[in-house]
Amino acid sequence: MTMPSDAVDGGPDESSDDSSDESSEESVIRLSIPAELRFLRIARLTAAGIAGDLGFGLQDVEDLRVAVDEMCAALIEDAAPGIEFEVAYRIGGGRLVIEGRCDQAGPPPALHPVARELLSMTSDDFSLDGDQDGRRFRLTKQRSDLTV
Amino acid sequence: MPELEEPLTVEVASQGDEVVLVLVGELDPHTAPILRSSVDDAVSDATATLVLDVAGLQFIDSSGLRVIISAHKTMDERGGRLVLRAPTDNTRRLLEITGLADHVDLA
Repeated sequence: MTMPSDAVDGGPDESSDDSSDESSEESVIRLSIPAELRFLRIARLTAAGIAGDLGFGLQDVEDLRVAVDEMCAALIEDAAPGIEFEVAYRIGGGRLVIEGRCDQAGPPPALHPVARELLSMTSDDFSLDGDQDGRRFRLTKQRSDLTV
Repeated sequence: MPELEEPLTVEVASQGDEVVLVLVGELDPHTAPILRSSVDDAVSDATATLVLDVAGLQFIDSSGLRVIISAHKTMDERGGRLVLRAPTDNTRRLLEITGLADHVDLA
């Protein structure tokens, strides 16, 4: 599971396997918050609000809240005090791609099996990694009513 | 930065050998320790049934589910039982996804 290191800061990720014709119509909403567990609620509320505006169904929105929470929690659960946490919500093509990053160096803790199970059932795709430059995640949620 | 409103409250009621914890709010890595300590404080050797009233739970993730798993183990080791009362559809769905619904009593 890897992702480009500029996935959050840069523009649309044209090197990704997910590049598509919709990339030119992509909009990005960015959130920057302290990397503290008490702010997880802000990240998932933002995701729910955006998904609701995009016409995601109630179940999709609820699933997204869980998936975003799990990814963000894994990224920041042992972050050092004072570190900022950035989340980019990329909108386009009936799907929401959410990318997060923080400057905490090193790989994130392994996902708990319960968290992994929830992520596999509430998202279409997810990845989580880290190196000396920081930690990153990428999460994709497609509108289920648009899934063929 | 101003303090955020406490996102989870736990009210405790005991009657006989039954302890009821009423949860209102959101259960995530920030608030899961609140529930964990509430369970630890409320359960004693005399507790036969621990009821978690989760009707007011607006969100739960894996950290919350893990506290429930821990509470279930605690009660099981004591020869008691754990009951989850009135889970919302979303809570029930996550319990089913993780298989926890097969191990705890849902009421």
